[in-house]
Amino acid sequence: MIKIKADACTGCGGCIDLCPSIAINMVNNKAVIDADLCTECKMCVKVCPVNIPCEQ
Amino acid sequence: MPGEIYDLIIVGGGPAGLMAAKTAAGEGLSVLLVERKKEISRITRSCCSMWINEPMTHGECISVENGRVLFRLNDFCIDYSGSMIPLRQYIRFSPGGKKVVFENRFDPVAIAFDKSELLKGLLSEAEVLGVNIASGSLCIDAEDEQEEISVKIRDAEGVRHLHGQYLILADGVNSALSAKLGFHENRKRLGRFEVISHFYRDVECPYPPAFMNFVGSGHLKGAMGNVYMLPKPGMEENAENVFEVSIGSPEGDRVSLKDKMNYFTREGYFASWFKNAGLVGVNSAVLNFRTPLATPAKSRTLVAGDAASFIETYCQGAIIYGRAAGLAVAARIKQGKDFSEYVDLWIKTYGYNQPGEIEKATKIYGINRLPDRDLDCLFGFTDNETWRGYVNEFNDFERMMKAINAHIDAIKAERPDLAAAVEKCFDIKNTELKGSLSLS
Repeated sequence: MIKIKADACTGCGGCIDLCPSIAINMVNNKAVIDADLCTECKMCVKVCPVNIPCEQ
Repeated sequence: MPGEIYDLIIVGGGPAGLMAAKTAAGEGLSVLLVERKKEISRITRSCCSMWINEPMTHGECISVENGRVLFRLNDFCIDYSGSMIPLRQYIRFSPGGKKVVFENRFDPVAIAFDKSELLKGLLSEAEVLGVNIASGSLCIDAEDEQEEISVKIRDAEGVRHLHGQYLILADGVNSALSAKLGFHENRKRLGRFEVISHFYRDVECPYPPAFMNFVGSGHLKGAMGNVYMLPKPGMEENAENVFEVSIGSPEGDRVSLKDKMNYFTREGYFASWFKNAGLVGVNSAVLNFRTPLATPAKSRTLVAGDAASFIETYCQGAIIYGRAAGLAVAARIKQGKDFSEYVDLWIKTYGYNQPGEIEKATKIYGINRLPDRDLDCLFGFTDNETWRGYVNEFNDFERMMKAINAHIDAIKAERPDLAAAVEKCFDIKNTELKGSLSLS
């Protein structure tokens, strides 16, 4: 399962733009992955400029 | 309101979307604006937020006066009363601290402003004019059908469908919706860039307010990337020395942007500027480089701002094209006009639609990627000089060429290998270009 550490997320939305499953929402200016929609393709891991999404 | 059919639905609450919204509402249209951020004026994405005041940038000569920004050639103005810092110099630094300086006698090289204040102003005008704002709502799909357009939005309450007559996509450089609606045919993807921005207070920078660009891998301990830095107005109360430091790098570099930032501010040639600095904020961005849209309008949809662009339109371009898109929809509804005026403006004025501009803008990277000792040598020749110029990617390459070409004979004498490498970067084949660059 891929998770985004909220405290370190800048809220730039790059992962939201590029997630092919549109599985990421902006909640309180932070990106939050919807586990029901996520296919674990790891695009968010690849594109995050601050390296925040990680597998858990 | 549920069931309502809006005249216009706009996706994206940046400068282009907000400007389109307030313009269309001002023309009497019913407008819904959808933005994924809850707080529209909060800036989370890297953006150097400068007014590019070089004349004829995107077909306009903007100027700032008395709480307004004037767009003379497009014949409108916007209110902006946030803080600003006129930048006196544009300095490009080599890894060893040698430099090329651009400066104008009377005009700043660019004007740093507070984008949050810009968005606040546009948003409040849009609200006064009756624009319905759906913030905290992610637009996850859009349809452009014969009779109407519809969007599917997801917010805290769930998923909803909303309907309108026309659609403006102002959802930024990575616009997935313009791809979905078929605008990306014939559009070439040129790569992906990642950016991180740190905001520091109490930076001890010895130069006057300047846009600074640090080129060469030595600034980043041998890793790829480009660093820029500028004073940032409006970030912190009573803090004059707040600077943005941004590092951009092509996708997939092995060294993280954070490590590059740490190296630049703690160990690099300019680390002493940061010895008492405190970090006050972090932004970032990911951007796909695509060739600009050849036709940013079809059926009932228009694409405006960065969504239609190669990299960006600058904030002022987003305002110009957002406004034009809003006017185009009003003219369609009220007078039955087509969107050709909007498309023409885009084609004729957007910098990267002009032949050769993308090639020229990417050529500057040829110079930036020279080995560190070559950059130190080249910039050593210009270190004590001042060249005329503005911050503007469209003319950056030619100005650098001019400054370095002034020393080409000396470079040839000292480092013939480097002179050949430079000439290869410049690739001066076009005689007209060559003529225009000879020094008077």
